[in-house]
Amino acid sequence: METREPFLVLIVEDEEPIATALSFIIEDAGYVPLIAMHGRQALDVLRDRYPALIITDLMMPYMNGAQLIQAVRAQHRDLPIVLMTAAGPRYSATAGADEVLPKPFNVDDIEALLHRYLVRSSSDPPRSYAH
Amino acid sequence: MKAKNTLTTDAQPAKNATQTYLPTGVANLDEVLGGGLSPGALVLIMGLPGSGKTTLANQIAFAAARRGQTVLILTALSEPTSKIIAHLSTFTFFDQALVGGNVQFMSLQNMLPHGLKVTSDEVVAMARSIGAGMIVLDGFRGMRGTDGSPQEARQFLYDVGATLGTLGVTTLITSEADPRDPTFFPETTAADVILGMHYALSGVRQRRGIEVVKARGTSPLAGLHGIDLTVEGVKVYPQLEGRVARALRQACVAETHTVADARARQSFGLPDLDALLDGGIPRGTSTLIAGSPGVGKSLLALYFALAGSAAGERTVYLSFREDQPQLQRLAAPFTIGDQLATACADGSMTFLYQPTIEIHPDAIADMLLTTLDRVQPQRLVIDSIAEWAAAVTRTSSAARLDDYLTALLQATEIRRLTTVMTHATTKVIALSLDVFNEPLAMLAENMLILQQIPLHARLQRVVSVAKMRYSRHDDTLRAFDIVAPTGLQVLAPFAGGAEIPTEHSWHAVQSA
Repeated sequence: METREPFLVLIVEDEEPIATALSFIIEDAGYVPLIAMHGRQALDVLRDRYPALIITDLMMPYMNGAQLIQAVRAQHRDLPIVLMTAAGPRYSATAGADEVLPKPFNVDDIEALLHRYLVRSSSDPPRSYAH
Repeated sequence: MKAKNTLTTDAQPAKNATQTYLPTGVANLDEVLGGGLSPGALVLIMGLPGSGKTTLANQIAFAAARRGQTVLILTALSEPTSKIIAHLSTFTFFDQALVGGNVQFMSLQNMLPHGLKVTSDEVVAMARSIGAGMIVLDGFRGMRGTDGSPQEARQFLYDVGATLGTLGVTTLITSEADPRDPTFFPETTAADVILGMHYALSGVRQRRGIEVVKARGTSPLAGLHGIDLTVEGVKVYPQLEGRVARALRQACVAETHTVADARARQSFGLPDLDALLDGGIPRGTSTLIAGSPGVGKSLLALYFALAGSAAGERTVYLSFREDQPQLQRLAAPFTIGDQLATACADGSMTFLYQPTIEIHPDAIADMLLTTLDRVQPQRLVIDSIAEWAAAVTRTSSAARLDDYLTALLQATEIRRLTTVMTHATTKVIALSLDVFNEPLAMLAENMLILQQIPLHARLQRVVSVAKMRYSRHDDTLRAFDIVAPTGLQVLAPFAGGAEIPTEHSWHAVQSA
């Protein structure tokens, strides 16, 4: 039986600036981000790691978000997966994601998402970026 | 980096309930942008040296800092930090107390030799470290040169813009470039907003302007807008035509527009003249008083304004030639002199004096519309519209004039104002009834013509009602006099039309 890593969030995003920004927000909220640049790379990561949440883009090279969700669901039925897309909410049902996060999103959207799916690793409140 | 102080500006309503804009803090720029800047936007400010890019970017930055945001101002290769602070300190928007606190200045000079990728990572790291909500990067043209390749520059903008944008950081980048230079098109694709700053000489005059070349997610005012660069920073004067077109769309005036009520009249307070007009000017219409110089156009317009005060209405009087003391001297010999002093004192008449030397016509429009919206008058007098029209053709082109004047009249119509404009004709003394063929003669709904013609060995003032679009009127030619202390008196009708000379009869007399 695999043990879920309660603070680990796998980001699957082929656009580096978006992935980097997401990782900053997740890190500052008290979680541990891990970045995969596409679906295949994410499946490689999942051989060794068991995140508490996957946040994946839809349109990516090699293996897109819908294909990734299908592959993950075959092995980890209960692992929460959030699908990021600018394409609209209709992909939620077809792709099998727990939730669709419309792009573009902001810091508040991600913090609320983490709050919904995860327990924070620290007792400190998430750090806000802006002063 | 999450913008805590995102505000919806008053200039434009947000396009939906969740849409918020950052106010720029620059007069009228939010209106031109269609609301303001979206939080997290990548804004490219392009223009030639001296066009006001750095001033504009820093004015926006200090406004954000005053709202409580932390702002990071980065200089590339344009100016040393100390020099840019010294330059900015000459503006009233600069606040020394914010420097080192909400406004942080840093230089990128040590990072640039390591390449744009390292620089972009450092910019993001610096923004994170101080929790910036806004970044200004001044002098991107210099950075573009460090790697030499437009592709590198584009990648830099994409990396910085996308990363900081996701983190909610608004990024302003200035670049010394012509906004229309296709050389820069590759990197401009990464920008959410592109502001083009224009700066040119027209004869001996400087002309500054701003245009929104691109604005994702908003509906900006199209075209070139005038700007002033003063100690207060940049002030934008939205192009009148675009401004009025937007107001018409928003108000759905096409559906709600009502033709002026022919029954409601606004008089001149001159019974004999009002009788020619079937009681006065139809409310909500525009009237042109055209006439030869010195015939009494300004005085007649003043009668209209003061008749409003007497009727309990408010009037805005925009004068291009006479300031308030001069107008009072003009009125002093007559009984209306005291009325003018009273109207100015009790606030029923708001007087605006604006010489047209070195002023952008859209600045005049901005001043007038702002005053109209504040005062909410029923009457407007423009004395004379010819000066304003000349400012339009002088600063733009004659081709703009028709659209401009149409927009001006629509702006008054939206506000349901009754407008009287004066305009001098070319002849001081006409040998016959003069023909007035200016665009305004077509645009204005009503037209009165005042002339001085030789009659019985003297110059006789004559008034005629050339047109009244929504009303019947008396087309009889009437002589009038201006005599102290009574003032303007419309006389009884001529006994016969033959008393008014025609050009043909005049020449016949001369040759006899």
